[in-house]
Amino acid sequence: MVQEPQSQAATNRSPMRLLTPEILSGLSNLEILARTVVDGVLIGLHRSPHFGFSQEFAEYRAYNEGDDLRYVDWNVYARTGRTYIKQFKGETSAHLMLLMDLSASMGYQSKGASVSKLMYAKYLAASLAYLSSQQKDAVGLIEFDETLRQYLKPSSRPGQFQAVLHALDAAEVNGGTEFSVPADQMSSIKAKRGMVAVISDFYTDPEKLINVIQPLSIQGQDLALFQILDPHELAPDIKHSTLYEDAETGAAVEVSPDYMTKEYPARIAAHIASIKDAAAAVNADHIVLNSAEPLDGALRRYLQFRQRR
Amino acid sequence: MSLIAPLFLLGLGLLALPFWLHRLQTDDPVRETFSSTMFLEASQKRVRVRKQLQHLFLMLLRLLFLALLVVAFAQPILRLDNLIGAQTGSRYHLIVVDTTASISAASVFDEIRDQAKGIVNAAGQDEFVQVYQFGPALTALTEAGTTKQTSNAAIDNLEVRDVAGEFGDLMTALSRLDWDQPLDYQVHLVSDFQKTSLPDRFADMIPDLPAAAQISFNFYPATSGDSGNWFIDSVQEEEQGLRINVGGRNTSSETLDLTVKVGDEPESAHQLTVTESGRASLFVPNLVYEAGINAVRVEIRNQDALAVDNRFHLVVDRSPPEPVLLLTTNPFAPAANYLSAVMSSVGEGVSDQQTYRVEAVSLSDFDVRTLERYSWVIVDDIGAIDGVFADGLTDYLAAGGALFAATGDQTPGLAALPVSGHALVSETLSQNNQPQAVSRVDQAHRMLSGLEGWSDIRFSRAVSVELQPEDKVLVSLEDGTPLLIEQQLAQGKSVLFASSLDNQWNNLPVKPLYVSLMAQAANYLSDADRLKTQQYGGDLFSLQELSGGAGQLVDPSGKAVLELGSTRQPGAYTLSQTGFYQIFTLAGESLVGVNTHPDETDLTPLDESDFENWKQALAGDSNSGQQVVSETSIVDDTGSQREFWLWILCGAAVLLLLESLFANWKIPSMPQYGSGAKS
Repeated sequence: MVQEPQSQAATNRSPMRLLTPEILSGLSNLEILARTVVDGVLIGLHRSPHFGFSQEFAEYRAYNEGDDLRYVDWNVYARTGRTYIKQFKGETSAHLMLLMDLSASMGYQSKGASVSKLMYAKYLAASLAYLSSQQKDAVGLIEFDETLRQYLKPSSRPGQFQAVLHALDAAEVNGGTEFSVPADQMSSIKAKRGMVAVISDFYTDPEKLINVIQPLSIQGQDLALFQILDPHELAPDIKHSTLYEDAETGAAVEVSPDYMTKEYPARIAAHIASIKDAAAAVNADHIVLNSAEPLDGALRRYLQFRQRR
Repeated sequence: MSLIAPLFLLGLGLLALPFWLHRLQTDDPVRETFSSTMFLEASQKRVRVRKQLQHLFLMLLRLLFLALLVVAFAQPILRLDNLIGAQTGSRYHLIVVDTTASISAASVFDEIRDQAKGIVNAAGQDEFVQVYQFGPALTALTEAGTTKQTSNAAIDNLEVRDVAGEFGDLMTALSRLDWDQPLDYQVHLVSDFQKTSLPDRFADMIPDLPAAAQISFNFYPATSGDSGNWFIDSVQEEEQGLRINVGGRNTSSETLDLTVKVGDEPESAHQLTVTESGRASLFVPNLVYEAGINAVRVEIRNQDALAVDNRFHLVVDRSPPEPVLLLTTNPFAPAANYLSAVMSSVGEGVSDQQTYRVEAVSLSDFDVRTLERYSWVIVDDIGAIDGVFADGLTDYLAAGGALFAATGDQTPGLAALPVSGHALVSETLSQNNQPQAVSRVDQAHRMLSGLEGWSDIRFSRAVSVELQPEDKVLVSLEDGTPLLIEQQLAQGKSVLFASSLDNQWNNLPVKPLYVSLMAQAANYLSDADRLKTQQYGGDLFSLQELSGGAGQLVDPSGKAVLELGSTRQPGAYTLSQTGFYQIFTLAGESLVGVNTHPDETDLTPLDESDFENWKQALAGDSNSGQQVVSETSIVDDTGSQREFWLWILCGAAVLLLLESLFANWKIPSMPQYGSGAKS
């Protein structure tokens, strides 16, 4: 079991803390970037998260009430008189479906930010894909805005990871957001039960989001909503009145510094909370990511998420 | 209009507007793309004042536009002509039009206006014209160098006023004008040249003009011919009725129809026969007056040359006697009796004189809070009042009340007098046991003017007080002891009589002077003498001299004469209409009857000999040869200057167009703001 306090302490000692998005943006190859991120995270954890019931032995642990008796090592019991449970490296056949929002709002990058939300999403998606490919999990990708932009069927065959990286690399933002598009796609392909990672800034109506992703939850998909936001979106700091143009609709609104520093943060916090509630309503995990912060935190949350499944 | 006229300067103030506007900056927002505006709310635009100007060229256009507009209204072309004229020595026509009451006789006014307009139109293109109105003061109706059209319009708008004028005053006013420009001044006097307008001294007919100035006088007489004129010389209130005195000039023997109207009562008709150019008197008995102020109108119904002097307006006051409070230690003492007798006789039988009624009250019985009911108060022994009473009197005076305080038996022992605060020096007794007489009287003071009989008064006792800086000593005794001292206390006034009001300390109460002194003191302290209810047209009237200062004056046509802001400002208003002026002050409503000045009723023109003497005197006084012009020539040419006006306005319009085009091109339009909600 991964214990949060221990992992947090380990992370603090990890050199990964230096791999900020600014540094990652210097890595032009998504694969290298994904390996760097994932391996760093795993090293920092000091224990493999790949627990499961594959054939590769991992370790013993003391039997606890409720454990399946089939995994008790009776030989050890015979020699020592104590009951131990054998644990093996995970060998799963889970699918990971990456749903990547390519709406225009994802292209936002505030002044001073090293990467855009899209780039951050690409880093995250590549890292998740790499992690899953290492697990021999099938990885698929759906890129969407208001339409379906790209679909890669989940697969664990060699080369799938490269295909995902290629698709991610070529992705560009455009248009608005319509979450029913990837949901419909998921329904139409009758995807196997697995994990679905939705990567977006979630500028949408939470009620509408629930209606869209609820069918996926009913299908048995484990949902993780990665909400990526620019630091300027979370805590804007402007000195003068600013005329903001909506990246997707083009609507312009002139706002005062006073409003942006006092009222807006409360509004965006309320929205994040409502997305979190929407996620909870469909038993999904909701992870808010600041595009200025390192990815390791996101990956740890993902691993915790996997561990709970 | 002059470039230095207040209105033009006010217009120049508009030039500050672009300077201000071009420093204003609507908080020019930074334009940025944002992920989503669904959580944004449009803020109110803020305006800031920058230190630096922006859009300088645009500002220049706006400044030029405003400057042209202001300059156009200021008629700069005429000013330009003026400057040219000053260099070339061209003619400057100064037209003085008589608008006194006599001008309304027959067709004189029309004739005078035609004469004046003839002078205007005869002036050359490079000559300047300025129109003045005379009577009683000299008033400029146009600026120097205005167009002929403006000058003619000013003449057309002239109105005869029911005022009198004198040529001596006119010459004095002309002397005060600026004659320093190197111009050929032509002074045109357009008048009926009444004989009664001559001053007492012939020398006053000659203005004191600069020796170097080139000035010619031109006369334009307009007369009513030999038309007869009736006039009401005076109307007097007598014991049993009214005495109406009527006269006629150039009139035949005739029976005149007269009407008398008192207030709103129906008018009564009377007849009076007047001999040829003679005078007659009519007594109208048994007139019924209402309590208070009565307006009496007397009118001659017969047609004659001058109508304005056929009416007479008399104010008859039938107000009840004004209560005067006498605060005394003993209401039955001789002082109270003397005062009551004297005050009851004041104003008796005089139409415009206030009457009084003494209310003698014991100091111990009087409630000091009721002081404000009285316009003035008498205290027969100021030393008898206590501290509380003194405070009440002080407050009463501070609020505008008046006090006549005498001394008595209880005064000499005090260190200082209550209310006034005068320190008591000593009690002055007669030197060598001989009573003292009065040595100095301020006859110029309103309360003492015209009083006689001071030499008969002797004072055996008086108190001597230490004078305060603002004190005004009105009467002094032989040894220099101040006997009558006036003191201003905030809004009120106090008069201290340093002796007693009975015949114990002096013999004043038993002398005739006592009556007249107390009568004038009463009128002075109650301000009843301020308002002269009978005035002539042209007389000056000042609200400031009335009680309270503030008020409103309504002319006979019912129009409020003074603006609200003027009611407290010092200065006099010329009573320019005959009839009844209503005066509203804090003290109440009053009436002033204004009648035509007797001089204006006599339409007889100057004798030929007087006229010639005057002309010769003027010719001798001025450097240039005097010209007398009696006929007019009409020159109607007002063209080019008005056209230039249009050019200026056209220039302003072009600038306005340029400004609009440049502003639209230079200043980008703001984007359309909309809702930030994401679809």
